[in-house]
Amino acid sequence: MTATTAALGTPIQGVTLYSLTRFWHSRQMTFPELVREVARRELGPGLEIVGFQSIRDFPRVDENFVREFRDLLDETGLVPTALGANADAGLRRDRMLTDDELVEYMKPQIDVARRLGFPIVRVQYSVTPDDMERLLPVAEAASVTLGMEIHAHHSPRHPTMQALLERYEKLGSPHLGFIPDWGSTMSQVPRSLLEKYRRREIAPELIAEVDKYWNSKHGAGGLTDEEQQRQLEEFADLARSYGADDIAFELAINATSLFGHGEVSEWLDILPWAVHTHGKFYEIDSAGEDPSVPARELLDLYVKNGYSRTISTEWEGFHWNDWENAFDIIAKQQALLRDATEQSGSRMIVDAAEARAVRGWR
Amino acid sequence: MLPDQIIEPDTLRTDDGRVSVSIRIPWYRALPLSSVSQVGLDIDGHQVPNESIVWRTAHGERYALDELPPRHDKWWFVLDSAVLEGDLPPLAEADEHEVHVVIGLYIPYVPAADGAPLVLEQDRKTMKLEAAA
Repeated sequence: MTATTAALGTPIQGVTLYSLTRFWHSRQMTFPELVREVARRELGPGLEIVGFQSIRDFPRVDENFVREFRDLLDETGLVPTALGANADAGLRRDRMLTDDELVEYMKPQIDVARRLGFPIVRVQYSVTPDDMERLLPVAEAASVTLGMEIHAHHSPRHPTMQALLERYEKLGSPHLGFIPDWGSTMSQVPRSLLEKYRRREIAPELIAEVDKYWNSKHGAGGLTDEEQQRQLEEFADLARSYGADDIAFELAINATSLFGHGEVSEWLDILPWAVHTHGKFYEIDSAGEDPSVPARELLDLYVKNGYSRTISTEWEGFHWNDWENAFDIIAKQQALLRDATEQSGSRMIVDAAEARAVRGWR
Repeated sequence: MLPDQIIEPDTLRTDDGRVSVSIRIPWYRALPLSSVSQVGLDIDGHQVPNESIVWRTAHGERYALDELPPRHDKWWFVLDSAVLEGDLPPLAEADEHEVHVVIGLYIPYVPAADGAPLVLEQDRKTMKLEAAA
């Protein structure tokens, strides 16, 4: 597939309730209230949830929840996109789960997707290519597609993802794919994190150094596991050298496992296998642009390479940003995505019926 | 993540030499109790001894801190409070007290090479100490 011959893509707009974590966690809004507000503000039609976030006792889900969820979809007209499953290989303290245990751990989560009507299940990198192959018949039987999330510090060129790509090409199944998370290919540290540090009265010199250090590691593609570990220690040391011990740990984790250095063009490697996308972002500036995730560049690549699948707007700024309303900032990012798509000669699909028709979902 | 949400306001209680405070998970999803890697509670800078701390779940279960690591079968849901209860340290008479809680978490889908926890959050809030009726 090349940019010149492929038909232009028409990505489908949507949102993950993960973006609204603060409203949920603080008990300000119930699950049905969140879903209804997403619909009322027209942030769909795509709707994604994380099982272990939104559903008590997940993956044990009773029929009442299934019925209520399906009624809620009927009422709001939203289209279920991806169910976030978790590959909790580190569940136990005494040892990692074996491959057999991890495969068994994923099965009931996949079945919940089937029951709730989600066509896609997000899985995570502890699931190996062999595990993925063993889960393929489970996914086929459930009529769902398993999407491996590519999330910082990974990027498409990371050996873990390349090994999976190789397996996908061998198996050639439409029930296996990737879910790009745009946090893998960022352009700088979020300005809102630096703003948060200013509000916390962190030394301005340290804030400037954090920005400078991340930039100094940028431009050479995504990190290897070893580079991530080394930078984790260096970021923590940097904070400690300014006496900011209280932020050393979180800064190091954020800077090395959320803000990815991958090149936007790396997505081309896996885009034919992309079944859904996490449209990760942290902030939208006063001009309506995203200073830290290159949304226009990403959408241009998506459109020109024929991507007509779903994009869940995923606002992660809530980790530190407690001064902006999540619903408002989601709407701003979606306006940017629509504009970017139009600038690239296409448009985003925002109509539920059209979204279903394009994807062949009932 | 969400460190400001850890301590629930106005939940500091004392009863018969024990003190308790209600806390929330500093994470976006349910985690097994085996994910709790570190707990610290102090009041006005006086540490509540860790060996005296009991972790009370929303379902009324009680665990000493060293009983948490094997409990990968018990979950801390994202909407549920837990209660930290321990021996009351000697506090000066005051209208209000500063509560400080530290929570470390292992994140089970990001297994760390060296077994280090991935999340270490803390919260400080000031509130009245209410005696049990």
